[in-house]
Amino acid sequence: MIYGLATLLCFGAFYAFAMAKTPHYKSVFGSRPSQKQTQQFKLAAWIIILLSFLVNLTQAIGYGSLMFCGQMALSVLLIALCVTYKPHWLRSLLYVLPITTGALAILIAVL
Amino acid sequence: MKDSFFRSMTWLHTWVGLLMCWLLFLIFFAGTISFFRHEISLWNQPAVHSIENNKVQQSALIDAGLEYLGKTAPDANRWWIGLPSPRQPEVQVSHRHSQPDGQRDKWIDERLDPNTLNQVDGLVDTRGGNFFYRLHFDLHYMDRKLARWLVCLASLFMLIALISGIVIHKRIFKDMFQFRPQKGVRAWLDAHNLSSVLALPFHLMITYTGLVTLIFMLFPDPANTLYEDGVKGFRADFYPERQRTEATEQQLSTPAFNSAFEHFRLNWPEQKIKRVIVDHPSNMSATIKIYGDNGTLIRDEHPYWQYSGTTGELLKTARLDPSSGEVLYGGMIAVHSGRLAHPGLRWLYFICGIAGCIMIASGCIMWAKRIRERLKPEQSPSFGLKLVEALNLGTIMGLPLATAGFFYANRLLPADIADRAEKEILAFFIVWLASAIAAGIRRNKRVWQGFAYLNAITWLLLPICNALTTNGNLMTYIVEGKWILASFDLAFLATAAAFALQGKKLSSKVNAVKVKPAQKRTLNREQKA
Repeated sequence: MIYGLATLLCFGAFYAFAMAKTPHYKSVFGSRPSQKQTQQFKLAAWIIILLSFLVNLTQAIGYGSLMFCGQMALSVLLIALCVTYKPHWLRSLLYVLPITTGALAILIAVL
Repeated sequence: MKDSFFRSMTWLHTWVGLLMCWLLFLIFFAGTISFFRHEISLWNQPAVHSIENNKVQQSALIDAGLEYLGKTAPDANRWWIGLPSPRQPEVQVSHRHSQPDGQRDKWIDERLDPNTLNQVDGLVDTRGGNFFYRLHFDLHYMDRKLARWLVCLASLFMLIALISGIVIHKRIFKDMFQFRPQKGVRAWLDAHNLSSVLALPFHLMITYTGLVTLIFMLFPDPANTLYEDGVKGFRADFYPERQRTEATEQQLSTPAFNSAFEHFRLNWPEQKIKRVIVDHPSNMSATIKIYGDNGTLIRDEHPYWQYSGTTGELLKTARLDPSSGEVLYGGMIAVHSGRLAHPGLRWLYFICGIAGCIMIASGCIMWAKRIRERLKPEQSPSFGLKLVEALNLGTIMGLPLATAGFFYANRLLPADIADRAEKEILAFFIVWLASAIAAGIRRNKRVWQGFAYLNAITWLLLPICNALTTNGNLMTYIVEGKWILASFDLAFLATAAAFALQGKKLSSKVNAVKVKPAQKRTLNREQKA
């Protein structure tokens, strides 16, 4: 379950990395991002990916780092496929992803 | 200077990559499948499919195994008891017998149901996942030593190709998610970049640690200087459990196996056991070897205890408290083999492995496409180009087909046929050879498409073949919660879908091939720039 949270975070981070790039942002939202938006996405991406790595490490240092490598591969793959073939899927993720990640985090904290 | 450095790196990447790419594809492919080694062994042995997950305590299982072996194989020279794990539900009880006139000892494998402690009937002779595991570094038909040297060389080439690839890519972070399938050869470059970058940590790790697994063959000098008989002496020191104990003339009348296990349980009550081996069980030189389970720890060699079978005293231990060198070496091998992985991480390993296969495949296809594009209309392709194209088709499309052939052979060969395990492997190589011959005759887009659809149909029919020849099918697996077997069927269907998609893509390109001149021009410009 905690690894699930780390995977969601990792996916979110690469989502933000992709949205920080003008062509991908344009294919998803249809408009050019402002420079401020791009910077915000980039900053968010770095913070979230660090968070994902830390969440993995809380479980086990070696095993967690292996999980993190795998999660990065899976996230980049999914984002690249979505950006290419189904860019509009990514539009709603801007809201869905933080909500699900937050909900999962709260669920873990409660349990 | 910078330009020439960049160019020389490109040259290195291209030629180092091309020279070994088919062997590398085979190694990567077999290695990726071997992440599911035990799962394949399970799938290949329908008799153990009905075994429920084990709830019995390990000590009871060991006692039952010893009792069973004592009854069925008192004169064996080695007993082997493999304890159940989530990946292998059954208790493995194997015994080895010496053969007359210096022939190799013969193993007989049997299994016990851990819940009933009865022998499992109806086992078939199969290598299962071990075939792919061995193929990964022994290349099957080849002399073992030569094969390992070749694999080493290929890994070294891979490492060079990876590093030079990183150097020439330049836009790793800028183009991270970029994939433009409509852009001809550019699309292949995108696929190559994407599959390399997305699993780059994995690729570097797996190649480097792969070299480390064979490091004592590549780099024997430290062992040669420290030990009188070189690597052999080093291995004897490092793996005391592999030392052979010779049998004596005297028979063992009252074995002390129980007191040995009592001592073990008293002193290491928390330690889970992976396997127990008894050498010369009915002889005065009887030795009990206990291998601890590593769980998800990043270490490869098991902690080890050796007891005397006659007195029950502890003779030797190894790796209970590994040195930092052992931790580093064992850690690298553990990370390479992925034995520690739970299903989640195992699938991530598998995805990264597939990305590696795609990286190699797209690389060799791109080479052939580039050369073909530079040909003038009146020019006929050279022998080298034809060879590369044939090897591409035969390897990339032939290997998955051969793998399906292996699975079919497992289900369809009669159970009592002689040398059944070897015949399954033969089926694998016959299908591969046939694909290679077909690729040698013709290699145009139609043939690629034909192979894609053939693969799709073959993989699609595999779950059906499984349902007809065994007692289970996808529905019953899901209902009974047998997730390993269910994921086999789902993975077969996913493979079929992927190949069907490839076939469809290829057919759309056959029609659209004429629209390209404008793109070609930009490509040429890019290449010149």
